[in-house]
Amino acid sequence: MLRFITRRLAYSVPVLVVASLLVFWGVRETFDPTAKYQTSRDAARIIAEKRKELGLDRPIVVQWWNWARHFVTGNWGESLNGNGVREMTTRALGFTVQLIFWGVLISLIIAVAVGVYSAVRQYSVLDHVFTGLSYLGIAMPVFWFALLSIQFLSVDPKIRWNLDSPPLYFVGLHSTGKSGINMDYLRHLVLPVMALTVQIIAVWSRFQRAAMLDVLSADYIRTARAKGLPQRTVIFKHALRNALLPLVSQTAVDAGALFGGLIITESIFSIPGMGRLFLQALLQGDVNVILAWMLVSAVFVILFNLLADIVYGILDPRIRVR
Amino acid sequence: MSACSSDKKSVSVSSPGTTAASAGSTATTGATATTAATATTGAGSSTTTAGATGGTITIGVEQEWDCMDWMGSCGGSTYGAWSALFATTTRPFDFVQDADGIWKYKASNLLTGEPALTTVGGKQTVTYKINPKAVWSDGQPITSTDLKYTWTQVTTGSDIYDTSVFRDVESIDDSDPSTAVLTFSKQNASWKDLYESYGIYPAHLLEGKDRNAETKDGYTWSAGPFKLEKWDKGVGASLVRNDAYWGDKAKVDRVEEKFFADTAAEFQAFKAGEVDVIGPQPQLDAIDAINAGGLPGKSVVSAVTGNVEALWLNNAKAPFDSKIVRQAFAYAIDRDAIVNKLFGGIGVNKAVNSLNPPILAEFSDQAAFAGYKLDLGKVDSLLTGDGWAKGSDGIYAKAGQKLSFEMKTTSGNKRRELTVQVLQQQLKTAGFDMTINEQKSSDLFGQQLPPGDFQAALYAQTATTLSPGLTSTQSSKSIPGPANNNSGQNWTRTNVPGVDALLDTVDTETDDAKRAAAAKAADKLLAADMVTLPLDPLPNLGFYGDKISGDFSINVIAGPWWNIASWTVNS
Repeated sequence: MLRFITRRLAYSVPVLVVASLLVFWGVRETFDPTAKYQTSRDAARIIAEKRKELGLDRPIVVQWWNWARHFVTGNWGESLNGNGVREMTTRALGFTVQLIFWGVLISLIIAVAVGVYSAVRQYSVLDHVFTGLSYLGIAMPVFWFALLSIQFLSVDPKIRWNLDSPPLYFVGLHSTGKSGINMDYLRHLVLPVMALTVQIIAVWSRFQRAAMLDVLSADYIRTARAKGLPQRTVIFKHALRNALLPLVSQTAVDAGALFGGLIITESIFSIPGMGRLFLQALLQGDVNVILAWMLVSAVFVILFNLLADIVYGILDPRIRVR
Repeated sequence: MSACSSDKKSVSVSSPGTTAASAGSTATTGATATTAATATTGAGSSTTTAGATGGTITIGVEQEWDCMDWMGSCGGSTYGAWSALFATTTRPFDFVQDADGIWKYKASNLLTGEPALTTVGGKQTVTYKINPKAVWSDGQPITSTDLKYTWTQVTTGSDIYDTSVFRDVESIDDSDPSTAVLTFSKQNASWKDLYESYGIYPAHLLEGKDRNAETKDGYTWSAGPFKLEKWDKGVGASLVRNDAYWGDKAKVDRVEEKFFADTAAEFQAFKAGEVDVIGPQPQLDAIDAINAGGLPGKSVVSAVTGNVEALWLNNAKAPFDSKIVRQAFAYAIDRDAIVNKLFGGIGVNKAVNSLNPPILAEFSDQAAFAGYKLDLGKVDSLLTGDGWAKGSDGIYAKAGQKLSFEMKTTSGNKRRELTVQVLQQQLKTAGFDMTINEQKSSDLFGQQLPPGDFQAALYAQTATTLSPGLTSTQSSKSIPGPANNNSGQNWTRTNVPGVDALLDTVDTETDDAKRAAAAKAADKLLAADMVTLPLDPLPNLGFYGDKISGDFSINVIAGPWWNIASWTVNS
């Protein structure tokens, strides 16, 4: 197993190196980080100073190499605004991780419950309802759902019942001056997590339903039933464990990709996570931030893919990697 | 003036220590109104102190600032100035509106009175007498050494946003802590601008240290009604009352500021009461949100701003190297119709008619371009008289060359996208063939406008001081070239005979009447040559919730919450 993990990680190194070089070149070619100083009345002097400070007068490969060797030693450099990139990225990651944790947890619980119910009660009224809702969820743009949820679950109740504050907040993850997991946090968390999970639940529940139906038609389930095992035991002990395999794999892959950030959710709910960090950096042509974002996101994708393989092996001993 | 894509640098403020009374009218949405404050007390006096009433006011801030070293190259942020700079720093002048509605500098409570402008040994000198009550938040007096330190940093410090503001200051005598005497190397009419951009920095805390490192992430000192308690990057900032402030103390205990990345969410937060006041940019989604209604409290829309959004024409590139084509272009456009389409929903429906923004009305002819109204007959007579003839496609042509040009503007700005689309239609009707080319603002302002790589462009210029400043954009001396190290901002290559001399007078004449006369004469010459066509003033917006009370008005430079220290939270 250790060998497998080491080999997988080793394969990813050249991918990251090439990707970072390409991104570095692309951003440098596309953006002039000194452009914003053109409108200053002392533009020539400032630009000359900045170009020297940023090393823009050197060949692109030299610039990249200087960045890369510092990056691996933990010196991720400064953003164009003079802020530490490592601190910025770590901080943004903290916000995104919170969203992902709650989003994935809630999505998994609901998707599994809905998927199992729909499979066990196939073609029932609720199965049709869930199917319809999941298609609606898949089709619904996140920003639209987010704005509607803000209107109907926060703004309208506040106005209609003349409340001092809205029942659910939608700016950030805490009120100013507050921290920790408490009621304030939960009131801030509900709407962004809803916006994040609506599509995920829709997709994963369909996934779970299909997997469960597949398993329920298997011979060993029929055998279990023939042996007279209770329905609950058949479903939860024998069927569900196997039916979870595809979803676990999908969850790990999806969750890894989420670390790149949730641009729309984070923008609408004013959460300074990885998505907003990337968007702002991209608009400013802030190459250090973009590269840090890219590498952190890529590392999470790689790790979660690896995690999927490992968990898959644990759940299904037949395909355990040696 | 500085070009404006989405953010801009503002510089002046009315110190909350000066009692202000409403001189204008507060308008609800839909009305075009400017609410202004006129200072009624002498500098340094504090006529009313109602005392603290407590509570917290929450502001929705549309753009987070990059850093809090306001004089640093990272410090040029409008929202940073509105939300933190003006609340925590002091400066010699307030920015107030007189009874005639003219925005002027007025000595702030930092000084004991208006500074003395004299000539000593043939050199211009300005003497500031500092109010003995003026202290930093740590109780240390504000002295002439602080003014000298700020000057030194701006002129010789590293990574400065704009060093040119102090370029004519030769020395500052700080031998008397209560008196700063500035001596100029040459006549300078804009001397009142000196400390308005960055405020005054505390020498006793920063001398000998790395100013940028000490301040860029925030600072604990203050010379304003509030102190910064915390800047939570990406999330918001907290200000608390500065009890050492010598002017009228802030009535609320705290001001919380929340950063928004989405305008729709910002309006929803205002509706839901998550924030008490917002000052969004006049983008289409903001105007849509206003027109959708349901907003609580009061709103203020002001068309008297420091901005001029214009159709900038490259006077050195065909087809706009021809004065006749430029004039025909101006007669081909119904500017009022465009402004009405953009801002009619908030009551702003008239085009601006000067390259100087409305706040500089005293120093400009605000009707200079008023003669350029839609008149297709004039378009035809001008162009046919110049040898152009309409082709079968309805587009004029001359010597086989169609009257075609490209209009560049910034991408990702829906308001500008709409503007150029309407323009394209209007110009097609008149016989012009206009194509649209949207560019990233960094590319447009950084790589294309300075070298003159454009025929026409739509963007805004924002006044950064109360002084008329067309020299940088309209004087031939500012055309980028070796003489100015390619840093000139006359990107349109405007070169109108007689204008340079007038603008020189504007820059050096300390007699305001003569200065205004020169500025107005320059405006007339520029309009007669139709160098560029002004379009709209980019109105300022302010929205104030039900939870708070106060004189809600927009200071064109200091923003919609310039006087937040005087506001109270309703019980």
